[in-house]
Amino acid sequence: MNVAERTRLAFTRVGLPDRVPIHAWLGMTFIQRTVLPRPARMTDLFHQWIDDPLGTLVKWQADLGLDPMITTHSQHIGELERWPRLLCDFKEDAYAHWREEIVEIDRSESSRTLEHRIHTPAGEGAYSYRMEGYSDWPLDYLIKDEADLDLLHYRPDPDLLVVDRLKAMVEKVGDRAWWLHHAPGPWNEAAELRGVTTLSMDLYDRPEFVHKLMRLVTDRLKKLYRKLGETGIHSVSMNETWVGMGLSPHIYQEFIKPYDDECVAAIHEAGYLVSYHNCGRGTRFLEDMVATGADALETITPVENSGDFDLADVKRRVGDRICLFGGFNERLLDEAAPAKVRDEVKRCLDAAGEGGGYILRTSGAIYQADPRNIEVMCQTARDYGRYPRPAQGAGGSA
Amino acid sequence: MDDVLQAIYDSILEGRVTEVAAEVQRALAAGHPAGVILNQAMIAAMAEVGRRFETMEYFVPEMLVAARAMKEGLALLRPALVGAQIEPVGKVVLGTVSGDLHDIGKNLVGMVLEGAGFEVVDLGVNVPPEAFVAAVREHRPQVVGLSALLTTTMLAMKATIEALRAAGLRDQVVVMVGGAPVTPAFADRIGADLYAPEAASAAARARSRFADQGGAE
Ligand code: B12
Repeated sequence: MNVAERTRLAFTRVGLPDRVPIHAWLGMTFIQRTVLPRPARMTDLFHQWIDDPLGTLVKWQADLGLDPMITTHSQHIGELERWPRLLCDFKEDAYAHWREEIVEIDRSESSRTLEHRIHTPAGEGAYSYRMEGYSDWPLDYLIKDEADLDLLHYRPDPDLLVVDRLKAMVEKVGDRAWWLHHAPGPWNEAAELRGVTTLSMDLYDRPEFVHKLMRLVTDRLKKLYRKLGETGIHSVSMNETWVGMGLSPHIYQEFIKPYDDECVAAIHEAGYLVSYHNCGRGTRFLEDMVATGADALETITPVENSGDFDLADVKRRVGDRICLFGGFNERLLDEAAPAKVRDEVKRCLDAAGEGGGYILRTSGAIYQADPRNIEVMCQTARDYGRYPRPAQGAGGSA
Repeated sequence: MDDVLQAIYDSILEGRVTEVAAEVQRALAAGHPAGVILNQAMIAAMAEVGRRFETMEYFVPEMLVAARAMKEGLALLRPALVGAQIEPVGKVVLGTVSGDLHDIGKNLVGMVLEGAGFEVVDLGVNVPPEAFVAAVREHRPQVVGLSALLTTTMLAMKATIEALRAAGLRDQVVVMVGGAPVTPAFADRIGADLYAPEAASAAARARSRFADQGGAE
């Protein structure tokens, strides 16, 4: 059974794979410090990955014992990453009514502060952020008041996205890795446009405005998801990280879920699978997230890692309706003794492995880890995660 | 509770910012002492917000609007408090530590502290130890609040405390730490003075610390 077949079975739950699939997302710091012989420039790395995914991303993960997973991603607003732009950029005419002027407004030894000034037929807008090391963070947001919503009509049209490079990369890899393309969900994109603290208060101050923003964002995202259907990716991780900051079921149901539902449906129409990404809290509206129709739910973060999910509880509540994609506490991979790592794998498999529909995956990305511990994690899962599963408790730890 | 005090209490609890302002004015006009308005209506309301947050009746947005209403009410009350010689509780320099960009929790803590009567100097995110040291020199706060959401950046809290010590400022401030991965044991280990698991208890603990000490030095 190849990697994609195995993970597809877990995602779709139409049958049992040979064993539980094992995925992880290797963070940039881990790749730079532990995987590469010496640190490399990010742009060079991205070019290598695009040209030779099998010899780089796929090989590194396979060598550690993982089922390789490729996590490309779409551009978020306010993000200056080279990776998404290298993979898919817009045709020139997509910018006809959305002209961006980038101005450096501050510079220090370690950081640069940039302002994007946007010119559209509906007027001007601006947002700024600071860049340092691998990250950039917003200082102010595009949507400062209700009138700025008009600007959004002129954002580059996803239909004009050139996806050839992503498509070529996907073809090179075939079924030797699971493709999980990351793209924002509507609440995340709304938060990026408005700032999450302000957006949270808008929920109470101007609920109509929030719905308007969510509508605009959702309509555009649906187009993006449809376009991504041309690339052959297996699945998308619909990034709703900001849902995990702690929201009431009521707010989730009224302001977020209807839009999430539409996005999930658009992805299915485009012919690929969707994993709902909430890496924080959400146990209070677990059933609602599942009811969006997503195929998988990530990252089921345990309390020890700042989430509020208990994998066994999640399996009991929704395990018959969705693939569970996560739950492993990756903090153990850094310094814990191998026996602890083994116990954690068994805990996850005992909690959620039964009957399929489970993928062992670190709940967060791996930034710092002893590679030997990753090997222990993978080996334990390969042995202990076979289907049909051994009777519970046999050979397992309490 | 008197009607108007009850109205202030309810408005804060529900985050109704314009109503709070009007009601505080009404309460002052009706002759309620500023200290009574503050303690019986406003601080009591924030305590209830904290309780509801703990029992998961309230979540982040509800806490944010309540804290903002509190802040608004307090701004109106401040002249009366000054008149009654009720001083701000103290000054807090607050920031998310070096390498960390998460600020939702930090913002919330800042707003609740302001609501509890502290003056807050917010240094933003990714604040290096030297910047905390410089801000302590400049603003002379009684409290330094450090927020971290990543296991990797929790270590920057320790570095910040050490930088304060190296600058000879450690004894002049109470260092309060928090953020989802931070535990009381970790706070102890790095030599912090106070830890709180969420914003409302952060404000309560900081306040009682000053009550114990009879205010700041
Ligand atoms: C929203 C979010 C983001 C947003 C942040 C937006 C923003 N403006 O803050 C974005 C998408 C930008 C983000 C980025 C990243 N994130 Co993030 N994020 C979260 C998430 C889902 C919620 C955090 C949050 O806002 N919670 C809500 C607030 C209200 O709660 P809080 O912060 O805990 O604050 C409360 C208390 O802790 C306390 N408190 C907080 N500060 C202080 C300070 C003091 C003095 C006191 C007394 C109390 C106190 O009071 C607050 C209010 O009650 C968490 C998961 C989680 N549940 O924590 C992951 C999480 C923190 N992120 C994580 C990661 C890995 C990242 C990234 C590295 C991801 C990436 N691949 O790039 C980047 C890091 C960027 C950086 N360098 O900082 C991991 C951390 C894992 C770890 N072990 O370290 C988490 C746990 C997710 C996960 N399960 O993997 N993230």
